Amino acid sequence: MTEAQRAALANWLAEQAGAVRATIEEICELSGGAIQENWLIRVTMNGGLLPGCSELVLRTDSPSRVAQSHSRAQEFALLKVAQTTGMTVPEALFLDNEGAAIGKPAYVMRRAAGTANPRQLTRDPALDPHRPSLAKSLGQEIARLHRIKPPHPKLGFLGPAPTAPASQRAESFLVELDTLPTPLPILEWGRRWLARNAPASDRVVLCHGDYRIGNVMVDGARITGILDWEFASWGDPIEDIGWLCARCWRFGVDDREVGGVGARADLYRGYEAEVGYLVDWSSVPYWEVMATIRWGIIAHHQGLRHTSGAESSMELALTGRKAVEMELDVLNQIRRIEEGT
Amino acid sequence: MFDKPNRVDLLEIANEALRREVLPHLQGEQRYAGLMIASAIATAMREISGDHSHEPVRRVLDRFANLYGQDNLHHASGDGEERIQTLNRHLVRHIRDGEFDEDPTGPVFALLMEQALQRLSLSNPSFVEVNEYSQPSSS
Repeated sequence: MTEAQRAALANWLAEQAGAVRATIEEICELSGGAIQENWLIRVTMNGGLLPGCSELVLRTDSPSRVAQSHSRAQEFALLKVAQTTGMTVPEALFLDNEGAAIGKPAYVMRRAAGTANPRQLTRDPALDPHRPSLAKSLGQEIARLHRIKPPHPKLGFLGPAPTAPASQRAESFLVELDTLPTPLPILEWGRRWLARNAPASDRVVLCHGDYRIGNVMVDGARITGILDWEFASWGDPIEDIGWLCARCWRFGVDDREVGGVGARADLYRGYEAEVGYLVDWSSVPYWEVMATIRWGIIAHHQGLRHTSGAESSMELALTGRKAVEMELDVLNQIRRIEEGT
Repeated sequence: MFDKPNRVDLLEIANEALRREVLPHLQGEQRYAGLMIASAIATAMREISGDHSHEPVRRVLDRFANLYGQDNLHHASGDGEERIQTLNRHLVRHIRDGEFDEDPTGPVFALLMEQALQRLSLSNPSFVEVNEYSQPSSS
Protein backbone atom coordinates (compact mmCIF):
# COMPACT_ATOMS: atom_id res chain seq x y z
CA MET A 1 0.00 0.00 0.00
CA THR A 2 1.51 3.34 -1.07
CA GLU A 3 1.89 6.39 1.20
CA ALA A 4 -0.84 8.17 -0.75
CA GLN A 5 -3.24 5.23 -0.32
CA ARG A 6 -2.41 5.11 3.37
CA ALA A 7 -3.14 8.80 3.77
CA ALA A 8 -6.41 8.47 1.86
CA LEU A 9 -7.37 5.53 4.07
CA ALA A 10 -6.58 7.50 7.25
CA ASN A 11 -8.71 10.42 6.06
CA TRP A 12 -11.57 8.15 5.16
CA LEU A 13 -11.42 6.38 8.55
CA ALA A 14 -11.43 9.72 10.39
CA GLU A 15 -14.41 10.89 8.37
CA GLN A 16 -16.38 7.69 8.93
CA ALA A 17 -15.66 7.63 12.65
CA GLY A 18 -16.25 11.35 13.05
CA ALA A 19 -12.76 11.73 14.49
CA VAL A 20 -10.62 14.85 14.39
CA ARG A 21 -7.73 12.79 13.11
CA ALA A 22 -6.83 9.16 12.40
CA THR A 23 -3.23 8.00 12.43
CA ILE A 24 -2.41 4.61 10.94
CA GLU A 25 0.27 3.11 13.17
CA GLU A 26 0.64 -0.10 11.22
CA ILE A 27 -0.99 -1.79 8.25
CA CYS A 28 -0.17 -5.27 6.94
CA GLU A 29 -1.86 -7.80 4.73
CA LEU A 30 -3.30 -10.85 6.50
CA SER A 31 -2.92 -14.33 5.05
CA GLY A 32 -5.59 -16.78 4.12
CA GLY A 33 -7.74 -14.91 1.62
CA ALA A 34 -7.73 -16.70 -1.72
CA ILE A 35 -10.60 -14.56 -2.94
CA GLN A 36 -10.48 -11.43 -0.80
CA GLU A 37 -7.65 -9.36 0.58
CA ASN A 38 -7.66 -8.61 4.29
CA TRP A 39 -5.56 -5.86 5.83
CA LEU A 40 -4.90 -5.47 9.53
CA ILE A 41 -4.90 -1.79 10.54
CA ARG A 42 -3.67 -0.44 13.87
CA VAL A 43 -5.07 3.04 14.09
CA THR A 44 -5.19 5.81 16.66
CA MET A 45 -8.06 8.27 16.48
CA ASN A 46 -8.72 11.53 18.23
CA GLY A 47 -12.37 11.70 19.22
CA GLY A 48 -15.22 10.21 17.26
CA LEU A 49 -16.74 6.74 17.53
CA LEU A 50 -13.43 4.91 18.09
CA PRO A 51 -11.28 7.14 20.29
CA GLY A 52 -7.81 5.88 21.13
CA CYS A 53 -6.08 2.87 19.63
CA SER A 54 -8.07 0.24 17.66
CA GLU A 55 -7.30 -2.86 15.69
CA LEU A 56 -9.43 -3.03 12.56
CA VAL A 57 -9.58 -5.28 9.51
CA LEU A 58 -10.15 -3.88 6.05
CA ARG A 59 -11.53 -6.32 3.55
CA THR A 60 -11.40 -5.79 -0.19
CA ASP A 61 -11.37 -7.71 -3.49
CA SER A 62 -8.28 -9.65 -4.51
CA PRO A 63 -6.87 -9.31 -8.07
CA SER A 64 -9.08 -11.97 -9.66
CA ARG A 65 -12.62 -12.16 -8.38
CA VAL A 66 -14.82 -15.22 -8.16
CA ALA A 67 -18.02 -14.56 -10.06
CA GLN A 68 -20.48 -16.12 -7.64
CA SER A 69 -19.17 -14.46 -4.49
CA HIS A 70 -20.92 -11.46 -2.94
CA SER A 71 -19.69 -7.89 -3.21
CA ARG A 72 -18.18 -6.14 -0.20
CA ALA A 73 -21.40 -4.15 0.29
CA GLN A 74 -23.44 -7.36 0.36
CA GLU A 75 -21.01 -8.98 2.76
CA PHE A 76 -21.28 -5.92 4.99
CA ALA A 77 -25.07 -6.28 5.00
CA LEU A 78 -24.78 -10.00 5.84
CA LEU A 79 -22.49 -9.25 8.81
CA LYS A 80 -25.00 -6.72 10.11
CA VAL A 81 -27.88 -9.19 9.80
CA ALA A 82 -25.86 -12.02 11.39
CA GLN A 83 -25.06 -9.75 14.29
CA THR A 84 -28.78 -9.34 15.05
CA THR A 85 -29.13 -13.10 15.61
CA GLY A 86 -26.65 -13.11 18.48
CA MET A 87 -24.12 -14.99 16.39
CA THR A 88 -20.53 -14.04 17.18
CA VAL A 89 -19.28 -12.02 14.21
CA PRO A 90 -16.73 -9.22 13.90
CA GLU A 91 -18.48 -5.88 14.37
CA ALA A 92 -19.02 -4.34 10.92
CA LEU A 93 -18.08 -0.65 11.13
CA PHE A 94 -17.76 1.30 7.87
CA LEU A 95 -18.52 0.51 4.26
CA ASP A 96 -16.78 2.15 1.31
CA ASN A 97 -18.72 1.03 -1.73
CA GLU A 98 -17.25 3.68 -4.05
CA GLY A 99 -13.59 2.92 -3.42
CA ALA A 100 -12.90 6.34 -1.81
CA ALA A 101 -10.41 4.91 0.69
CA ILE A 102 -8.22 2.58 -1.36
CA GLY A 103 -9.55 2.77 -4.89
CA LYS A 104 -11.78 -0.30 -4.77
CA PRO A 105 -14.81 -1.32 -2.72
CA ALA A 106 -13.93 -2.26 0.85
CA TYR A 107 -15.30 -2.32 4.36
CA VAL A 108 -13.82 -2.14 7.81
CA MET A 109 -14.68 -4.27 10.80
CA ARG A 110 -13.29 -4.68 14.27
CA ARG A 111 -10.58 -7.32 14.49
CA ALA A 112 -11.65 -10.52 16.26
CA ALA A 113 -9.10 -11.82 18.75
CA GLY A 114 -7.32 -15.18 18.46
CA THR A 115 -6.57 -17.32 15.44
CA ALA A 116 -8.39 -19.04 12.59
CA ASN A 117 -5.34 -21.11 11.62
CA PRO A 118 -6.58 -24.66 10.90
CA ARG A 119 -3.26 -26.32 11.72
CA GLN A 120 -3.25 -24.78 15.15
CA LEU A 121 -6.95 -25.39 15.85
CA THR A 122 -6.82 -29.03 14.74
CA ARG A 123 -3.48 -29.98 16.30
CA ASP A 124 -2.82 -27.87 19.40
CA PRO A 125 -2.92 -30.26 22.41
CA ALA A 126 -3.70 -27.29 24.69
CA LEU A 127 -7.14 -27.19 23.03
CA ASP A 128 -7.88 -30.87 23.74
CA PRO A 129 -9.69 -30.41 27.09
CA HIS A 130 -11.84 -27.70 25.48
CA ARG A 131 -12.78 -29.56 22.29
CA PRO A 132 -16.26 -30.64 23.47
CA SER A 133 -17.19 -27.06 24.34
CA LEU A 134 -15.69 -25.75 21.10
CA ALA A 135 -17.70 -28.22 18.98
CA LYS A 136 -20.82 -27.37 20.96
CA SER A 137 -20.25 -23.64 20.38
CA LEU A 138 -19.86 -24.31 16.64
CA GLY A 139 -23.33 -25.86 16.74
CA GLN A 140 -24.85 -23.00 18.74
CA GLU A 141 -23.36 -20.30 16.53
CA ILE A 142 -24.64 -21.68 13.25
CA ALA A 143 -28.05 -22.50 14.76
CA ARG A 144 -28.43 -18.80 15.59
CA LEU A 145 -27.84 -17.83 11.97
CA HIS A 146 -30.28 -20.47 10.79
CA ARG A 147 -33.08 -18.58 12.58
CA ILE A 148 -33.12 -16.09 9.71
CA LYS A 149 -35.78 -17.09 7.20
CA PRO A 150 -36.51 -15.71 3.75
CA PRO A 151 -37.40 -13.13 2.71
CA HIS A 152 -35.40 -10.52 4.61
CA PRO A 153 -35.63 -6.77 3.92
CA LYS A 154 -31.84 -6.29 4.04
CA LEU A 155 -30.98 -9.37 2.00
CA GLY A 156 -32.88 -8.86 -1.25
CA PHE A 157 -29.66 -9.44 -3.20
CA LEU A 158 -29.75 -13.11 -2.21
CA GLY A 159 -32.61 -13.56 -4.66
CA PRO A 160 -35.60 -15.83 -4.18
CA ALA A 161 -35.24 -18.73 -1.74
CA PRO A 162 -34.85 -22.12 -3.43
CA THR A 163 -37.86 -24.43 -3.33
CA ALA A 164 -35.65 -27.52 -3.59
CA PRO A 165 -32.22 -26.51 -2.22
CA ALA A 166 -30.41 -29.80 -2.84
CA SER A 167 -31.58 -30.27 -6.45
CA GLN A 168 -30.98 -26.64 -7.27
CA ARG A 169 -27.48 -26.74 -5.83
CA ALA A 170 -26.68 -29.88 -7.82
CA GLU A 171 -28.11 -28.21 -10.94
CA SER A 172 -25.90 -25.16 -10.42
CA PHE A 173 -22.78 -27.35 -10.58
CA LEU A 174 -23.46 -28.03 -14.28
CA VAL A 175 -22.52 -24.47 -15.20
CA GLU A 176 -19.45 -24.64 -12.97
CA LEU A 177 -18.32 -27.85 -14.65
CA ASP A 178 -19.00 -26.50 -18.13
CA THR A 179 -16.73 -23.52 -17.60
CA LEU A 180 -13.73 -25.77 -16.85
CA PRO A 181 -11.57 -26.71 -19.84
CA THR A 182 -11.17 -30.43 -19.06
CA PRO A 183 -13.92 -33.02 -18.70
CA LEU A 184 -14.23 -34.21 -15.09
CA PRO A 185 -16.19 -37.46 -15.19
CA ILE A 186 -15.86 -38.22 -11.46
CA LEU A 187 -17.40 -34.91 -10.42
CA GLU A 188 -20.04 -35.34 -13.15
CA TRP A 189 -20.90 -38.78 -11.82
CA GLY A 190 -21.06 -37.46 -8.25
CA ARG A 191 -23.21 -34.54 -9.36
CA ARG A 192 -25.61 -36.90 -11.11
CA TRP A 193 -25.88 -38.91 -7.90
CA LEU A 194 -26.63 -35.73 -5.94
CA ALA A 195 -29.37 -34.78 -8.39
CA ARG A 196 -30.96 -38.24 -8.21
CA ASN A 197 -30.76 -38.58 -4.43
CA ALA A 198 -31.67 -35.05 -3.36
CA PRO A 199 -33.42 -35.04 0.03
CA ALA A 200 -36.41 -32.80 0.65
CA SER A 201 -35.60 -29.80 2.84
CA ASP A 202 -37.97 -29.12 5.70
CA ARG A 203 -36.43 -25.70 6.40
CA VAL A 204 -34.96 -23.02 4.13
CA VAL A 205 -32.85 -20.52 6.05
CA LEU A 206 -29.89 -18.17 5.78
CA CYS A 207 -26.79 -20.36 5.34
CA HIS A 208 -23.26 -19.11 5.80
CA GLY A 209 -21.99 -21.09 2.80
CA ASP A 210 -18.38 -21.43 3.97
CA TYR A 211 -18.78 -22.46 7.60
CA ARG A 212 -15.60 -24.37 8.35
CA ILE A 213 -12.40 -24.29 10.35
CA GLY A 214 -10.29 -21.55 8.79
CA ASN A 215 -13.23 -19.15 8.83
CA VAL A 216 -13.81 -19.32 12.59
CA MET A 217 -11.72 -17.14 14.89
CA VAL A 218 -10.96 -18.82 18.21
CA ASP A 219 -9.28 -17.22 21.21
CA GLY A 220 -8.26 -19.80 23.79
CA ALA A 221 -11.27 -22.09 23.42
CA ARG A 222 -13.80 -19.35 22.81
CA ILE A 223 -15.22 -18.44 19.39
CA THR A 224 -14.59 -14.74 18.76
CA GLY A 225 -15.89 -14.33 15.24
CA ILE A 226 -17.35 -16.15 12.24
CA LEU A 227 -15.65 -14.79 9.11
CA ASP A 228 -15.95 -14.84 5.32
CA TRP A 229 -19.55 -14.23 4.35
CA GLU A 230 -19.05 -14.10 0.60
CA PHE A 231 -20.92 -17.34 -0.16
CA ALA A 232 -23.95 -16.89 2.10
CA SER A 233 -27.28 -17.89 0.55
CA TRP A 234 -30.76 -19.20 1.27
CA GLY A 235 -30.54 -22.94 1.61
CA ASP A 236 -30.96 -26.12 3.59
CA PRO A 237 -29.38 -25.59 7.03
CA ILE A 238 -27.81 -29.05 6.91
CA GLU A 239 -25.64 -27.83 4.03
CA ASP A 240 -23.63 -25.74 6.52
CA ILE A 241 -23.27 -28.81 8.76
CA GLY A 242 -22.12 -31.01 5.86
CA TRP A 243 -19.54 -28.43 4.79
CA LEU A 244 -18.15 -28.14 8.33
CA CYS A 245 -17.95 -31.92 8.84
CA ALA A 246 -16.85 -33.15 5.38
CA ARG A 247 -13.57 -35.05 5.44
CA CYS A 248 -11.97 -32.58 3.03
CA TRP A 249 -12.30 -29.85 5.67
CA ARG A 250 -10.83 -31.83 8.58
CA PHE A 251 -7.27 -30.83 7.68
CA GLY A 252 -6.00 -34.39 7.96
CA VAL A 253 -7.44 -34.98 11.46
CA ASP A 254 -10.10 -37.42 10.32
CA ASP A 255 -11.20 -38.84 13.65
CA ARG A 256 -12.46 -35.45 14.80
CA GLU A 257 -15.42 -35.27 12.51
CA VAL A 258 -16.25 -31.62 13.12
CA GLY A 259 -13.64 -29.90 10.99
CA GLY A 260 -10.79 -31.79 12.66
CA VAL A 261 -11.49 -29.99 15.95
CA GLY A 262 -14.21 -31.90 17.77
CA ALA A 263 -16.85 -34.61 17.95
CA ARG A 264 -20.07 -34.66 15.97
CA ALA A 265 -22.25 -35.44 19.02
CA ASP A 266 -21.10 -32.22 20.69
CA LEU A 267 -21.84 -30.16 17.58
CA TYR A 268 -25.34 -31.62 17.28
CA ARG A 269 -25.98 -31.11 21.00
CA GLY A 270 -25.01 -27.45 20.76
CA TYR A 271 -27.22 -26.93 17.73
CA GLU A 272 -30.24 -28.64 19.27
CA ALA A 273 -29.81 -26.76 22.56
CA GLU A 274 -29.96 -23.51 20.60
CA VAL A 275 -32.99 -24.32 18.41
CA GLY A 276 -34.81 -26.09 21.23
CA TYR A 277 -35.86 -29.25 19.41
CA LEU A 278 -34.33 -32.48 18.08
CA VAL A 279 -33.03 -32.18 14.54
CA ASP A 280 -33.19 -34.91 11.89
CA TRP A 281 -29.50 -35.36 10.95
CA SER A 282 -30.08 -38.17 8.46
CA SER A 283 -29.22 -36.03 5.41
CA VAL A 284 -25.77 -35.04 6.72
CA PRO A 285 -23.88 -37.75 4.72
CA TYR A 286 -25.62 -36.51 1.56
CA TRP A 287 -24.57 -32.92 2.26
CA GLU A 288 -21.01 -34.08 2.97
CA VAL A 289 -20.91 -35.52 -0.55
CA MET A 290 -22.29 -32.17 -1.78
CA ALA A 291 -19.51 -30.40 0.13
CA THR A 292 -16.78 -32.63 -1.30
CA ILE A 293 -18.01 -32.14 -4.88
CA ARG A 294 -18.37 -28.41 -4.37
CA TRP A 295 -14.85 -28.08 -2.96
CA GLY A 296 -13.53 -30.28 -5.79
CA ILE A 297 -15.09 -27.96 -8.39
CA ILE A 298 -13.83 -24.85 -6.58
CA ALA A 299 -10.33 -26.36 -6.39
CA HIS A 300 -10.30 -26.92 -10.16
CA HIS A 301 -11.43 -23.32 -10.67
CA GLN A 302 -8.72 -22.04 -8.33
CA GLY A 303 -6.12 -24.01 -10.28
CA LEU A 304 -7.50 -22.47 -13.46
CA ARG A 305 -7.08 -18.98 -12.02
CA HIS A 306 -3.38 -19.77 -11.83
CA THR A 307 -2.96 -21.61 -15.15
CA SER A 308 -5.05 -19.08 -17.10
CA GLY A 309 -2.63 -16.36 -16.01
CA ALA A 310 -5.34 -14.42 -14.16
CA GLU A 311 -3.46 -14.66 -10.88
CA SER A 312 -0.11 -16.38 -10.53
CA SER A 313 -0.01 -18.13 -7.15
CA MET A 314 1.72 -21.10 -5.58
CA GLU A 315 -1.30 -21.77 -3.39
CA LEU A 316 -3.82 -21.63 -6.25
CA ALA A 317 -1.60 -23.92 -8.34
CA LEU A 318 -1.39 -26.53 -5.56
CA THR A 319 -5.11 -26.26 -4.81
CA GLY A 320 -5.81 -27.15 -8.44
CA ARG A 321 -3.73 -30.28 -8.06
CA LYS A 322 -5.46 -31.13 -4.79
CA ALA A 323 -8.84 -31.48 -6.51
CA VAL A 324 -8.24 -35.14 -7.35
CA GLU A 325 -8.12 -35.90 -3.62
CA MET A 326 -11.69 -34.65 -3.32
CA GLU A 327 -12.60 -36.70 -6.40
CA LEU A 328 -11.40 -39.95 -4.83
CA ASP A 329 -13.25 -39.02 -1.68
CA VAL A 330 -16.47 -38.49 -3.66
CA LEU A 331 -16.16 -42.01 -5.08
CA ASN A 332 -15.57 -43.53 -1.66
CA GLN A 333 -18.32 -41.59 0.09
CA ILE A 334 -20.99 -42.41 -2.47
CA ARG A 335 -19.96 -46.06 -2.58
CA ARG A 336 -20.29 -46.28 1.20
CA ILE A 337 -23.75 -44.72 1.09
CA GLU A 338 -24.86 -46.95 -1.80
CA GLU A 339 -23.59 -50.06 -0.03
CA GLY A 340 -25.20 -48.95 3.21
CA THR A 341 -21.99 -49.20 5.20
CA MET B 1 22.06 -36.17 -24.24
CA PHE B 2 21.95 -34.44 -20.87
CA ASP B 3 24.69 -34.29 -18.28
CA LYS B 4 24.47 -36.09 -15.00
CA PRO B 5 23.05 -35.36 -12.48
CA ASN B 6 19.87 -35.37 -14.57
CA ARG B 7 16.71 -33.33 -14.07
CA VAL B 8 15.21 -35.71 -11.51
CA ASP B 9 18.50 -35.82 -9.57
CA LEU B 10 18.56 -32.02 -9.54
CA LEU B 11 15.00 -31.67 -8.31
CA GLU B 12 15.68 -34.31 -5.68
CA ILE B 13 18.74 -32.59 -4.27
CA ALA B 14 17.05 -29.17 -4.50
CA ASN B 15 14.14 -30.44 -2.44
CA GLU B 16 16.43 -32.13 0.06
CA ALA B 17 18.44 -28.94 0.51
CA LEU B 18 15.23 -26.94 0.90
CA ARG B 19 13.91 -29.28 3.58
CA ARG B 20 17.20 -29.69 5.46
CA GLU B 21 18.85 -26.29 5.17
CA VAL B 22 16.11 -23.72 4.56
CA LEU B 23 12.80 -24.90 6.06
CA PRO B 24 14.09 -25.22 9.66
CA HIS B 25 14.87 -21.50 9.62
CA LEU B 26 11.45 -20.43 8.40
CA GLN B 27 8.43 -19.57 10.51
CA GLY B 28 4.80 -18.64 10.03
CA GLU B 29 3.84 -17.54 6.54
CA GLN B 30 7.31 -18.15 5.14
CA ARG B 31 7.37 -21.68 6.48
CA TYR B 32 3.98 -22.29 4.88
CA ALA B 33 5.33 -20.98 1.56
CA GLY B 34 8.41 -23.21 1.97
CA LEU B 35 6.25 -26.28 2.57
CA MET B 36 4.19 -25.50 -0.53
CA ILE B 37 7.34 -25.17 -2.63
CA ALA B 38 8.66 -28.49 -1.32
CA SER B 39 5.34 -30.13 -2.11
CA ALA B 40 5.28 -28.71 -5.65
CA ILE B 41 8.83 -29.91 -6.33
CA ALA B 42 8.04 -33.39 -5.00
CA THR B 43 4.97 -33.69 -7.23
CA ALA B 44 6.80 -32.45 -10.33
CA MET B 45 9.64 -34.88 -9.57
CA ARG B 46 7.31 -37.89 -9.32
CA GLU B 47 5.60 -36.94 -12.56
CA ILE B 48 8.85 -36.51 -14.48
CA SER B 49 10.08 -39.89 -13.18
CA GLY B 50 6.82 -41.52 -14.20
CA ASP B 51 6.69 -39.93 -17.68
CA HIS B 52 8.13 -42.95 -19.45
CA SER B 53 5.58 -45.39 -18.10
CA HIS B 54 2.57 -46.15 -20.28
CA GLU B 55 1.08 -48.23 -17.53
CA PRO B 56 -1.36 -45.64 -16.06
CA VAL B 57 -2.79 -44.83 -19.52
CA ARG B 58 -3.09 -48.51 -20.42
CA ARG B 59 -4.95 -49.32 -17.21
CA VAL B 60 -7.45 -46.51 -17.77
CA LEU B 61 -7.97 -47.50 -21.42
CA ASP B 62 -8.61 -51.08 -20.29
CA ARG B 63 -11.37 -49.84 -18.02
CA PHE B 64 -12.87 -47.84 -20.89
CA ALA B 65 -12.80 -51.00 -23.04
CA ASN B 66 -14.54 -52.82 -20.24
CA LEU B 67 -17.30 -50.23 -20.16
CA TYR B 68 -17.81 -49.54 -23.86
CA GLY B 69 -16.27 -52.59 -25.54
CA GLN B 70 -12.84 -52.56 -27.20
CA ASP B 71 -14.38 -52.04 -30.67
CA ASN B 72 -16.01 -48.82 -29.62
CA LEU B 73 -12.81 -47.04 -28.59
CA HIS B 74 -11.43 -46.53 -32.10
CA HIS B 75 -13.14 -43.19 -32.65
CA ALA B 76 -10.84 -41.70 -30.01
CA SER B 77 -7.48 -41.17 -31.68
CA GLY B 78 -4.25 -39.51 -30.63
CA ASP B 79 -1.71 -40.47 -28.01
CA GLY B 80 -2.77 -42.03 -24.72
CA GLU B 81 -3.54 -38.85 -22.81
CA GLU B 82 -5.44 -37.34 -25.74
CA ARG B 83 -7.50 -40.49 -26.19
CA ILE B 84 -8.45 -40.47 -22.54
CA GLN B 85 -9.44 -36.82 -22.80
CA THR B 86 -11.67 -37.55 -25.80
CA LEU B 87 -13.20 -40.59 -24.15
CA ASN B 88 -13.81 -38.58 -20.99
CA ARG B 89 -15.75 -36.00 -23.02
CA HIS B 90 -18.03 -38.76 -24.24
CA LEU B 91 -18.25 -40.26 -20.78
CA VAL B 92 -19.30 -36.94 -19.24
CA ARG B 93 -22.11 -36.64 -21.79
CA HIS B 94 -23.28 -40.18 -21.14
CA ILE B 95 -23.29 -39.55 -17.38
CA ARG B 96 -25.40 -36.40 -17.88
CA ASP B 97 -27.78 -38.33 -20.12
CA GLY B 98 -28.31 -40.78 -17.29
CA GLU B 99 -26.83 -43.83 -19.04
CA PHE B 100 -25.33 -45.18 -15.83
CA ASP B 101 -28.19 -44.31 -13.49
CA GLU B 102 -29.24 -47.92 -13.03
CA ASP B 103 -25.82 -49.12 -11.92
CA PRO B 104 -23.80 -46.18 -10.63
CA THR B 105 -21.34 -48.39 -8.75
CA GLY B 106 -20.86 -50.88 -11.61
CA PRO B 107 -18.25 -50.78 -14.43
CA VAL B 108 -18.44 -46.99 -14.71
CA PHE B 109 -17.39 -46.79 -11.07
CA ALA B 110 -14.39 -49.06 -11.70
CA LEU B 111 -13.30 -46.79 -14.56
CA LEU B 112 -13.67 -43.61 -12.49
CA MET B 113 -11.84 -45.16 -9.55
CA GLU B 114 -8.98 -46.23 -11.84
CA GLN B 115 -8.64 -42.68 -13.16
CA ALA B 116 -8.58 -41.21 -9.66
CA LEU B 117 -5.99 -43.73 -8.46
CA GLN B 118 -3.72 -43.26 -11.47
CA ARG B 119 -3.78 -39.47 -11.15
CA LEU B 120 -3.16 -39.67 -7.40
CA SER B 121 -0.37 -42.19 -7.63
CA LEU B 122 1.82 -39.37 -8.91
CA SER B 123 0.39 -36.24 -7.32
CA ASN B 124 -0.25 -37.55 -3.79
CA PRO B 125 0.49 -41.26 -3.32
CA SER B 126 -0.12 -41.04 0.44
CA PHE B 127 -3.75 -40.18 -0.27
CA VAL B 128 -4.09 -43.58 -1.91
CA GLU B 129 -2.07 -45.46 0.71
CA VAL B 130 -3.42 -44.00 3.93
CA ASN B 131 -6.27 -41.93 2.49
CA GLU B 132 -4.79 -38.75 3.90
CA TYR B 133 -5.48 -35.29 2.51
CA SER B 134 -2.33 -33.41 1.53
CA GLN B 135 -0.89 -30.84 3.90
CA PRO B 136 -0.25 -27.98 3.94
CA SER B 137 -3.75 -27.17 2.94
CA SER B 138 -5.27 -23.87 2.00
CA SER B 139 -6.56 -22.17 5.10
